[in-house]
Amino acid sequence: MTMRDDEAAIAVRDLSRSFDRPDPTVRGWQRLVPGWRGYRASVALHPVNFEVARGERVALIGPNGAGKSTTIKLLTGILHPSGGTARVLGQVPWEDRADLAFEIATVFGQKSQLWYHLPPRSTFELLRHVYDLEASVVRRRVADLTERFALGDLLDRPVRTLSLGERMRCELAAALLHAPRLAFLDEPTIGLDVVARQAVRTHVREMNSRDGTTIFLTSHDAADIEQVCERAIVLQAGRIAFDGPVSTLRDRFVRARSIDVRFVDPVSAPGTVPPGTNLVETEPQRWRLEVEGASTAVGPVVAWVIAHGPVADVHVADPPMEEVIAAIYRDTDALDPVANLQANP
Amino acid sequence: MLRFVAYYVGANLDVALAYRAAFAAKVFAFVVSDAMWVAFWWLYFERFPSVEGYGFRQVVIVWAIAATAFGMFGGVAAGATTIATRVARGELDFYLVLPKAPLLHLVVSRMDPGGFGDALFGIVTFAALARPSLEEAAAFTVLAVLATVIITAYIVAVQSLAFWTGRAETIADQALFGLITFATYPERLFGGPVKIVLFTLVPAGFVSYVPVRLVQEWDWTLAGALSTVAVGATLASSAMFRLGLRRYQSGSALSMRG
Repeated sequence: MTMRDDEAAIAVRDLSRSFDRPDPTVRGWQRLVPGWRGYRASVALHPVNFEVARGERVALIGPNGAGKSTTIKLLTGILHPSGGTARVLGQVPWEDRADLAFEIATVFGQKSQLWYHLPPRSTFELLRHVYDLEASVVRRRVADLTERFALGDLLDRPVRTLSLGERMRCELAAALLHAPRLAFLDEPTIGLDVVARQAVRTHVREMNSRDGTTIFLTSHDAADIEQVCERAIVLQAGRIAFDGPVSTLRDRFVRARSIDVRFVDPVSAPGTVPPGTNLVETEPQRWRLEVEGASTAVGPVVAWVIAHGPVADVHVADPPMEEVIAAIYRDTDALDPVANLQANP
Repeated sequence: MLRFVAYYVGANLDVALAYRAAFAAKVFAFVVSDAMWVAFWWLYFERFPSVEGYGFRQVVIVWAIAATAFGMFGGVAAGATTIATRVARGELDFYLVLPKAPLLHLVVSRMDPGGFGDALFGIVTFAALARPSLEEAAAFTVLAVLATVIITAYIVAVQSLAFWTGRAETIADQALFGLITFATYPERLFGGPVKIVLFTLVPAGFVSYVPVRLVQEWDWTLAGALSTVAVGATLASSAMFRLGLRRYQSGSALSMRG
């Protein structure tokens, strides 16, 4: 059931966008001939529908060119749609862009909003003028953000001297200066090292839990999705191929779970295995099995293993989210939009 | 709005002064370049005291007005010269997600240090060589601001062609150079169809010729007409930019703010 569009943080109805792309079959000189257009419409986003509740943490994922950035740019008012409509915090982004900008934050991992040659504090001061904030309010918020993001002396160092991780912490702090109710984060961890990525995820979760900021995130990093978001929308070639909880995403696309068994004493290899199970590796004291799909119960398989001899250790593991996402990107057939929408109405 | 612009100018100056020697060198180069032209005219009028009724003082006023206006344009509104490139590369996103008017923000987002050289040259030359009365000095100040507004509107309009043509950097550069060139020659050198062009396609007439006339002989009607042109050009170029934004196709290039 849908919530009212003005109650949702984001409500998207049949939103679509096409771009004019050069027609590769038209030669350069032909473009000069009147009537020979030389361009054709390329659909970046087919009509899509979804909602995001206030305070929700949603990941928009999909392979390159799936329409993720186009969706974010439509929802922030950067682009006008070719069709359909959207409401973000009750406003139509491309019509009420300036008003909406007071309520949202946008962080593009690949596009810095910090002045390269000046310290972040100068950008904060600029943003004070951009958002018409009182100096005393900004002082308080900068102090708070400095503590939360451990900015310390970073605030007064030229941005060009900061590491990528330090810069991204400053970007996030800058995005929060005006206390937005909704944050669009487009690949916020791109290019960061493991520690910096972890820090960004922690900060984003805190934005949500502490300030109630709705999070709408795109990323190719499985851990961003798994650790930050509770819900995923999968875009495939401009269409929604999946919309549901992140946990369901794993169940839906899990091809096999693995069971690692270590026996107390050497055991002989079994002649047959339970249905839906493959024996991948056998050593005298160790077996590795794969249980196909999410529907095959693991319990009977473990019981069957134990029947072969005393067990020292058993480890059942889902495939990492990285593999789930890689499978989604590789296998378009795995994604049946109609079936998924029916499964997750 | 003025505080926002003032803050931006200050911050842009900070950025420019991050490389102090480069900043000083560029200012100096612009002053020398302008001075060489005025020196040329001085030598010329030593030999031929009048050209079509223009003397050395008139040419000084032409140069002073043009240099000051283009200098202020460079110092405050040089971001206008980047519109076509940013449209072509899909780099307007930053301005579109903030609540300030994106055109204003974009226009004041860049500074050309050379503008300080031009403006410095224009003001000093006017004061030192034209030896203006108080009224002339007041008129000069107002007219230089109006000329700056018209230059900015013209450059915004030409650069905004990129929304429709995809690329407009070359034509926009030519338009700016054409405007500078025609704005620094005496009006009376041109007549007939050229003059029509200079009050329409390349509005050097409004940037230089009309202001020069007004500095020398104030006329409220002409000043009102010039102000109307400045306001009209600003509204028209803003509308063109807004219309163009509907066609904007964002990009995914990596970018940093300078």
